[in-house]
Amino acid sequence: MDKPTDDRQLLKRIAGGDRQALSELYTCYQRLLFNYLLQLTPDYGLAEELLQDTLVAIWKSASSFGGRSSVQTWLIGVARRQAHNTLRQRKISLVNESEVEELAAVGPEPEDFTLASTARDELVEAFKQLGPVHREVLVLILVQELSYEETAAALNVPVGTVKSRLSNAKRLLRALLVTREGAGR
Amino acid sequence: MTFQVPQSQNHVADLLPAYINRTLDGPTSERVHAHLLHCEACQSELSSWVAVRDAAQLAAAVTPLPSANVLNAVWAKIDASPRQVSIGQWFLKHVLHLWLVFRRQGQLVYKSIWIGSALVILGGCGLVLFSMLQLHNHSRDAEAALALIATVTSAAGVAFIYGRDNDAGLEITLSTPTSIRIVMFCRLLLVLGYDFALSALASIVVAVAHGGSLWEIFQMWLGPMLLLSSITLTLSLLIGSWFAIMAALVLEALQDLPLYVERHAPLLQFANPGMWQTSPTVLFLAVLLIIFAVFYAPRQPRLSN
Repeated sequence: MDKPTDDRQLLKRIAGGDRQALSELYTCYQRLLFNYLLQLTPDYGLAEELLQDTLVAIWKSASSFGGRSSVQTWLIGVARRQAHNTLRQRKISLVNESEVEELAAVGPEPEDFTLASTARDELVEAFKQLGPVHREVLVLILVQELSYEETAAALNVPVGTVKSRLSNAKRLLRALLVTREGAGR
Repeated sequence: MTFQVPQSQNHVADLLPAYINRTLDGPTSERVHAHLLHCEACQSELSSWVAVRDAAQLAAAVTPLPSANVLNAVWAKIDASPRQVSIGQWFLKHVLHLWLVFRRQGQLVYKSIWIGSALVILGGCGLVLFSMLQLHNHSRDAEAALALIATVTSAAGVAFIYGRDNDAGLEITLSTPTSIRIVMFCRLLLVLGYDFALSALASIVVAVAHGGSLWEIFQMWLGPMLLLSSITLTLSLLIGSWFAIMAALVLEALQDLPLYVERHAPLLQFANPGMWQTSPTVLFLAVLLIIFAVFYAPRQPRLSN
């Protein structure tokens, strides 16, 4: 069965007021949406609240889905809008200021250091320390496997911004690991 | 050993994340693949991205699931949120809101407008009846006098319905979500409607006593009442209420003078008294001025500051 067509049918049914369709959509996408929202806030309770708001927004605006993007991209876009609105109201910034400073201070990569040679656990820890803006782009590209164009659409930014955020995220990971390695010596 | 990928269009560093998640189109993917075969810098970069991807996927894999009651909370929020309203409900809601605004305006305009208008129009009606019955005045003079009274009274009332000097609570009104244009238009309707009702009552009394055509009496004051009221409303917003009243009196005198001349000096017919009656031109001008006044209203307090 064609999954994207199924998802579009689900959205049509939701637009028609079918509650069962929203339950089915939620079953399919709960992990994806919750994982995405947890990149924006480490607070489990807040992420769950944002997930509820996202589902309410999907229920109300399913009829506005025009089919120009995939259902997955559209859902992430809805989740992102809900999260940004709520986080802005609560004055929670998605940009980590210390990360911006660190990014400016990142020097050339040491010759004896590669991300590929770093222990997996250390890399996971460094990933968790990234700011929301960089974690979300890594998750969308490398975990959800969205294209650059789909990611740009979901985040409402140009494709060039997606590429620069990816590059910055990798530089920051390296900086975090180098700093940690230096502290460990 | 690692390599810094040079910033060159020949390298493919910025395409590598899309290469490993297989979202590049066929030709681009083949180009990246061919480049990687001979570029050690990009091979190293690819290894880094694979490591980052594995770390991100591992972090995502251990992400907890949301609790089981998320959907119940969602249904509760959906049921608690206001339902979408139909066009009919939307229309009814706005009509009710307008009605509420309209009703409240009665308490906000000067009480003297209500009392004064009733005294002048009904008193004037009494005088007209007296002149007809006791002094045997010409019926047309009596009707013209009634039209003069109704027109000037209405214009005087309208001159005081809006503005900082006439509304102590204007600042509060301006701070509410209700448009000041709607507020002013409701007041205009209210005062004009009240004067219309009084004038209609007086006209009925005169028509019954005199036996003439009610419509002819209506025609004598309806158009002039609307036009003169719209003029005073506009002038009261632009300049001031008292100036508006003075202008209204001058205009009314200029229009009634020909009637007097026609009656007492038939050789000096220098104007057509029929112009100052209900006609499409008069009504059109009145509507035009009212539209201008309504749209101009929000600027008025700022101008007077």
